[in-house]
Order: sequence, then structure tokens, then C-alpha cells
Amino acid sequence: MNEHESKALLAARGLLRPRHVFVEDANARIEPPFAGPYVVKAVSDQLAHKSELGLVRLGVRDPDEIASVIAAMRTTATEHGVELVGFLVEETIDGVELAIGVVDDPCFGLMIMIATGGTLIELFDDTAFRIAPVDEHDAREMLHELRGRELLAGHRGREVVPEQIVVDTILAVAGASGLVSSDLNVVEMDINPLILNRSGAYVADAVIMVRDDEAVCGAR
Amino acid sequence: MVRADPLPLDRVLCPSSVAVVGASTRGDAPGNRYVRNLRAFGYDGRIAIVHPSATEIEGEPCFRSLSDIDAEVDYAFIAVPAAAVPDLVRGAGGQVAFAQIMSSGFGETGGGEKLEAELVDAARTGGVRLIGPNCLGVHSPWGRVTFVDAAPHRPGHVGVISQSGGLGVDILRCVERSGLALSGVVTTGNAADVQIVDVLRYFLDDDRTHVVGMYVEGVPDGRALFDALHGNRFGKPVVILKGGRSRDGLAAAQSHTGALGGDHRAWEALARQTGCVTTNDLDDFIAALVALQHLPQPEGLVNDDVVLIGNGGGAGVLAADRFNAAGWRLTALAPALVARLEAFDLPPGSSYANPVDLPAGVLAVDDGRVIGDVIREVLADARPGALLVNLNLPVIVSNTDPRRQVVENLVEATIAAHASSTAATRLALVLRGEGLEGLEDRRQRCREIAEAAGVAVFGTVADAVSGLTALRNVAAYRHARGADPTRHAERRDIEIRRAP
Repeated sequence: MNEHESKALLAARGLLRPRHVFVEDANARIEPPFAGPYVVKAVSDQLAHKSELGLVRLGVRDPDEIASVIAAMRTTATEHGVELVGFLVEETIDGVELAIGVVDDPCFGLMIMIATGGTLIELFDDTAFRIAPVDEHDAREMLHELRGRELLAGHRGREVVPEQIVVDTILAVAGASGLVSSDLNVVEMDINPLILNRSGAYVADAVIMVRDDEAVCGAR
Repeated sequence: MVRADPLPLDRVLCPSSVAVVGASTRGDAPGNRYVRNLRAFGYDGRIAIVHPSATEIEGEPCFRSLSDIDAEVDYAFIAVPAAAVPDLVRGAGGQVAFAQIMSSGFGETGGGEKLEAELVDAARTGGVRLIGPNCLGVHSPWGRVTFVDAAPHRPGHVGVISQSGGLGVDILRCVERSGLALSGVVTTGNAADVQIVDVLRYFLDDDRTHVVGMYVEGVPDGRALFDALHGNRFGKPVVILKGGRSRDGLAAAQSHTGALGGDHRAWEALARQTGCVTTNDLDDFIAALVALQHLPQPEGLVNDDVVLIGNGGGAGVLAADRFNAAGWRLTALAPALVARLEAFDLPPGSSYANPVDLPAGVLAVDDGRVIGDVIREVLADARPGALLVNLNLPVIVSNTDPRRQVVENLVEATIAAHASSTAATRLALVLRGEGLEGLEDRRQRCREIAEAAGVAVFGTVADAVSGLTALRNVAAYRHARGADPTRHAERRDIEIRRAP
């Protein structure tokens, strides 16, 4: 499931996705009905690591720059033999970056992980795991296990993000009526980053893998 | 959740008839030792021995095969070379309920998986359920069965499942000094047929068992274990010791019991979600079980405050470090309380901070009964979640007249003061000085006094911290979720706030 599809699925579950425009045609002129700076991404069913290829750009200022970025991405994709299904232009969301993942443990089945996220996720190694499905107590305890929870509590003048937003997001993914409990047969999921501010939890990037789905795609 | 009826493991732990395969006429085989241990332990049920030619071994009648035995067998103890075991159980003729296979050389060894599969298949044909292979036996003071010599007799309420046979022995050897009282120990080894979760379900259902301990290296179906523990989350406390939490430990576990341990974070998650206590080593494991068997079943929250009273300033500092690391606070006693303690006008050398340091000379006041006065004041004012009374016995004994029974008085006064308090404080005693000539009897007597009053006694501060922490964590889990235990099951409509 590519990034665009994964995000749509999560949005249907109540997570927020940044305002966005998706186009299949690289030649289409895009004038987003929301303010920049923009995030521009190439969407492919084949690629897991787009950022290494330069297929993700942050801080794009206006429609002219969007057009030139898309043109450059198309060239890069062609050079690397990558087939693109389209381009996403999104608003830039500010906030605290967490990650939410789902993994299939060989012994216990689906497990949910939350982590202090973003590009430094491995460096922080600040994670909490639970066996799915989880209840509200579990979700709250997971958050309390993260050292990174301090970032949500107004650390050094940041805005305070209500804990309940994180709890509800965890439940939307891995609660008894969450995505992992649905008949979609999710076997793996990686939302990173999930950007939190007091408006809610935004899926800035996501990959979902369902059973018998070979395509893994959509990392920033 | 569908819950299967537990297996009738009463037939294993309290068998009325036992068969032994692997005893010799020379008297030196594992089966001979087993029979002798069983009789020495007071087992008075029927024992039948399977032997190709003998008519009698160890004074018990012999039969040519399991199916030749002239009555139904509850439990068969099998200790013959691995290759011979499948044929043996295949011929059980449906009259053996459970067979425990001590032999190794099955799934835990390279190439042994095939033999293990054949064994399981043979057991189905023979109509027998298997425990093991690659384990050491079962122990039950209630059923008077055991697999070790000089086994501890005292029956109790802690049921232990050990994937490792050797660790099962270690646990039995800890019983005397730790005060652990068992309802049973089942070693499961490779668990080719009867699984750890089967034994768990039995202990959770067994009226004699109030607390369960599990040493586990890995299970094939973690989800079944999770479901059983989750179903019990407000029931009997369960303590888990997980072997193979590190990369090398996991590799060791694989060659030990053939277990695939899985991610250690999954085990941690399992415990958090089901209210189980996790422990790091055998001492920790035993301490948690001792605390949970003695102290009253957790009711309500245990607050994080602990007060330490005892002799030895340095020991108090180290104890404070231990408590802190486990999430406890040593809150300073209130000035008004300190003033009341000072008004006792005890000999010099005491410190009324927290830890409350009372040197041996002070503890000897009123032949030790002084500690009761101190504890009464402390509990009434500070109302801590836990009180640890840490007595360094050799120092006290060498500074007091043995006829004055200061040690015994200290213990009795401590228990009485705690019992008279209205505070919901958990009391633990540390009686240090194990193995000192002439002191062990008195220490043992003190332990008995305490245990009769339902107070846990530990040999070290580290063990006491482990025990009290286990108790606090079980109580915290139940307090957080117990107020409305149905809530977890409710479907919750998810609503995440939208941007304005």
C-alpha cells in the first residue's frame, strides 16, 4: 500500500492528514488551496526509501518551485527506473514527532510500538511495546514509558499537547476496534513521523502492509 | 474468551498410582533414586516399575510394559535413553494418564526434532499425555511426590512452572532459607505436548495455589499464554522469570530447551498488560513469590513511600539506593514526628531521618521492645506504603545478653506494632546474619514467628525491595484497572480532534 493509500486509510480511522493535493500527471500545474511552505513527495508502489533518492523535498515555497521540484523528481525516478504513481503536495505541519509502528511478532502476533520519532528514531531508541489489541490503560502507560513524553508536556516553552490525543491515536491503530483489529489483515505499519500539536495527530508519513501485499512504499 | 477446562494435572501432582521406567536391579539408575525419594517423601500410593526381567525393584512390583501394569496409572516417570521412549509410550495401552519424560536428546539437540515429533505421535497412539521431554520431574508437598532428595515438606500455596528442570531443583533448594511454601513445581522441559500454558491454567484453577511463578525460555503460542494471563489479570498474582532476554541468553535457551524465546520486549509488554510481575534473576523471582504468598492480597494502592528502620548506617544508605532504583521514595519524617521520637530519650547514636538508624545499643532498650514504640509513632504519622525493618542480627546478638531474647522481642514488637496500626502499610523484615554459628536457630525461630503472623522475612535488603516492589506493582495494576474491570472490553468510539 503506497503512502497516499496508507494515509487515506488512517484518515478514515480518524487520524489527521496534512492538507494535500495529489496529482498523477507530472505536467499538471499545482496551486494548493493552502499556504506554504510545502512538502513535495513522489509516490511509488515500489520504493521504501524515497528520501535517499531525493524524492522528498521540504520547504518548497510556491507553485513555480513545486513545478520545478516535480520535474526534477520525474527525471531522477526515470534515471533509477522507478515507476511513479503520482505526486503529493502537502502543507507543512509543526509539532512534536513521534512514531507508531505495528510489527508481527512470531510468538505473540501483532504488537504496537510507539517511539520518540522522526529521523532520529534509532538514535533515541525510546520505545514502548504492547501486544495488540490494547486498551486505554495500556495506551496511556505506553506514552508514560517514553522519555520523549516530556516533549508533549511543554518542554522548554513548546506548546502542550494533550495526552489524550496520543492515547486516542494509539487506540485508533491498535485498540479493540482499531485498524489492526479490522479485517484488513494489517501485518506491518510504520507511521513516522506522526506530528503532534494541540490540534491533533497528523500522519506525515505512513506505510501499511497488509497480508499478501508485496508492495511496501512511502518513506519520507 | 473461550476458556478450555484445565488439564487434570491433579493426577500428576497428587497421583494415586505411579509407574517408573528406568530403574535397575543394581539400584543405581535414575528410576531407583526416584522411587527412594518418593517413599522418603512419604508417598503412600502405588508404585509399579517397568522392567524387562525383574520381579521386584526397590521393594515394588515389576511389569514388562506400561500396558502390562494391572491397574490404571496416573503418572509415569520415564528416564530411559531417548531412542527407546517412543516405543514405550506407544505401548501404554491407554491406561497411563500422564507420562513425564526426563530423557534428553530430543528437540533441544540438533537433529532431535524428528525423534520429538515421533514421540508426540507415539503418545497419541498410546493415549498418554506427555510432560517434557528433557525435564526433571514434579514436586508436590500435598501429593507427597518429588524428584529430589531431602525435599522440602512444608505444603503451601505457590505453584511454580519451570521450563528448566535444573532450575526447578534450584528453586526447591531455596525453599528452606527463603520461606517459600509450595503447592507444586512442574518442570516442563521441551514441552512437546503439555504446554506451559496448560500448567498455568491448572494452577490458576487449583484451589491450593494462590500465587504462580513461571520460569520460561520460550513458548510456541504466545497468544494463548497472553489470553490465559489476561483472563486472570485480577486473579492470582503471577511472577515471571524470563530466561534468554539477551542475545546470548536467547541462544543458550535455544540449545537448552529448544525454545524460540521471541522478542524480550514482547514479554515485558505481556507482563505490563496482564499485571504480572517480571523478575531479573532467581533471587528476585523467589523474593517476589515470598512477598506475594505472605503479605495480604493487595487491596488498593500501595503508595511509593517507604520507611526504613534498622541498625547500620551504611546498610541504610545502600538500602535507600536500592529502594530509589525500584521507584520508592524515602520521604523525610515530619519534624513533629521526629520530636516525638526524640522525646523517647533513647541512648545516643540514633538518627531519626529516613532511614531511621537505631544502633544495637538503642535496639536493646526494654530488651528490644522499644522498636514497637518507634514503629507505632512512625506508622501513625507517616503512613508509608511500606515499612522495612532491617535487623543486622550478629551485631545485636553480640551486644546483648542472649537470655534477654532481644532479637525475638524486636521481631515480636515489630509485628505487634504493625498489626495495631490503621495504616495500610506493607511490612517486610530483613534478618541478616545467615549461617552465623549459633545464630541460625534463633533466626529461624524469628522467621517462624513472623511467618505465623503473615509477615515476609528476607535475607537481604535487595530481596526485600524486590518483594515489596512486586507487591506494589500488582496493587498498582489492579488499582488502575480494577475500579471498572469491564472497561477494557468496551468498544470505544475513536474521536481525534480536528484542526479548527
